[in-house]
Amino acid sequence: MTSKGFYFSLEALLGFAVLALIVLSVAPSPGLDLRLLYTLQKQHDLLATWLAEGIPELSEMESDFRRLFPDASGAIAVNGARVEIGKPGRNPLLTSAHVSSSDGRLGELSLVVYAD
Amino acid sequence: MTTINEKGVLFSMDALLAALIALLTAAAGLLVLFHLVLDQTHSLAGYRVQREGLLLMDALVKNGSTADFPGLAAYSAERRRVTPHLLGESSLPASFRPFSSLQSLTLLYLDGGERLLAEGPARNPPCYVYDRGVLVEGRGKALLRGVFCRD
Repeated sequence: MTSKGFYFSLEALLGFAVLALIVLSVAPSPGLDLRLLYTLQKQHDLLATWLAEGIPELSEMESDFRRLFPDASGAIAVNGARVEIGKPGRNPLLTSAHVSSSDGRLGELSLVVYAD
Repeated sequence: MTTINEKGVLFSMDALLAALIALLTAAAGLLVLFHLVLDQTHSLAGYRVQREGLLLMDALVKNGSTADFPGLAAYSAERRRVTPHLLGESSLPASFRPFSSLQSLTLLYLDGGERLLAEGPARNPPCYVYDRGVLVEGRGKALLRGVFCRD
């Protein structure tokens, strides 16, 4: 046999493909993110201050919301009456509190912040 | 008639190609892992500052002042307990024991006034700002703003 040739290795190519798939499948871990906790804390701040001073008018609550969440949109609901603040987004984070009135009825104050 | 000896070294392109592919794959894998570790190292330092900032602000707003911790929440004699989110204007501490990453702590009143509660030495960026909503006795709603930077 005198003719020269090139031995093309299918095994090497297959091995390379498998190894590349393994390396690419190592997904980077999601970044450490405390934004959700911060959002929940501020929501709680709003509810706590509103309940401490007596539930204010919706316009004042909207103003407080914009002060603590200047770049976010959300909604405020008082006993079912809901007001949207800004354009509704995705991933709503809901915090609510129940309030008892002097006549013994239970009302609900809830606050939604859209995380996205 | 030719013999193997006359041909010299038998050079295998097949083995060379396989070896090169294996070495390049190993190098690529190590490079990916190196960048992953580097990313995690950078984000971990920032995460520590963020975590300390968030937890410290929460503790300041919800706890009263004790010998071990300068909380800002006022004590209510009527309720016989500390009232979270309600700060006593007159009982705010004049100075703060320094926390490792606290750059400044300021009360921003709704009427536009502000009061600097604590200021630390200049620190390195990145800095993170955290605002918490509070009530101040006699002044109404305010923002407690904490700025936290790396040491």
